[in-house]
Amino acid sequence: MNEAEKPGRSKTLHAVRLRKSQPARATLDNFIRVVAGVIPLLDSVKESLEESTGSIPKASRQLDNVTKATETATVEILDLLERMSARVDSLGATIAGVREAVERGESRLGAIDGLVASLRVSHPLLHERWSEFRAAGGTATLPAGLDAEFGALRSDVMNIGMALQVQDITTQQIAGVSHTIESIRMHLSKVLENFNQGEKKALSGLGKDGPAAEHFNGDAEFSRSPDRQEDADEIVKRWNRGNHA
Amino acid sequence: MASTKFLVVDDSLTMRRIVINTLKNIGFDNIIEAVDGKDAMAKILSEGADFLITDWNMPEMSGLDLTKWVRANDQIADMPILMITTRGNKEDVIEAMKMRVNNYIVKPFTAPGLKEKIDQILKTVGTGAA
Repeated sequence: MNEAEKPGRSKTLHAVRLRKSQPARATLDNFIRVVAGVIPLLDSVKESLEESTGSIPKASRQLDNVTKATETATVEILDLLERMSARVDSLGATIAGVREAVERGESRLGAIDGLVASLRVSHPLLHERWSEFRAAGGTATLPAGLDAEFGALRSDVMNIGMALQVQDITTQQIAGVSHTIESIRMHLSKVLENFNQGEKKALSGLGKDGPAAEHFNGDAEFSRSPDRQEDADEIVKRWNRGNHA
Repeated sequence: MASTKFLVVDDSLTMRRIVINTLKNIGFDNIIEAVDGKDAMAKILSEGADFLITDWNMPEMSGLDLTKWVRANDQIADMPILMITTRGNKEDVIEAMKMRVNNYIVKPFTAPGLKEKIDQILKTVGTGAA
């Protein structure tokens, strides 16, 4: 005989028990509904995590490729600059040679000036023609401003080379980003292990751990301001004076 | 001064080229190079050097550890060391000075800046002052 069939007091007790258990059952039903709703969500999260951890190695590789490409290009530019520098040096030597020849020529012309001046009375026509020749630019001089132009050219070649330091600095910044991305990948992998019940599932594209933190300075800056160097100089000066604070 | 043998240490090929070209432009042409601290140690032991210009962050062995090794080695302990690095924080400079680098340059450096630091160091080393 079930509870419902028992007469009298048992029937009442059964009804009471039913009434008391209804809220608990409702709560349980709700809980089951929630869990049932969460499971697909968790599956979706797991899928996203797998996708993300799968894409990260590709992102790291792309950053690596950027670094390699900029280094290749920078080295090419440095090669060109070295050739330009050699040509500038050669040009400098040529200018120096021409200057020497010009000075020798001017010195000879100066000697002729003296000779012609002494013939002014006896050979007035010669003197007149010689003076005209000299007045019309019959002098041997280098163009004005040549030295300044040459110096500027030399300086520009050097400055281009110095500006290429940006490649080293950006490489370190990129290494910093790579390292951060790799750390995120490691964290996501650990979360995924939980989903896979502790199983370290092999994810595609893994194998690159990224640069160790001490090989780069992720905070590297490319700044033309002299402030950072001046600050460092001040610290060095104070240190050498015995102020080690 | 012109015969001073420089060892330039940096894991970046670009930076080594720039430093070496700058040294040549300011009159120093006796230069060897190394790709990191470990390579530098080997070059110092096999080829010798009179002046060390080193980066800080490098694989295998950092510039700071290289400095420590040089200073701990009696035969080369007094070698002039100039650190050229992207690290510009006060703490970094102090840490380098604690390791007894002679001077410190923050990248990007300038040719006049490099010449000035080298001249200062050579002058100091010449007088025997610290």
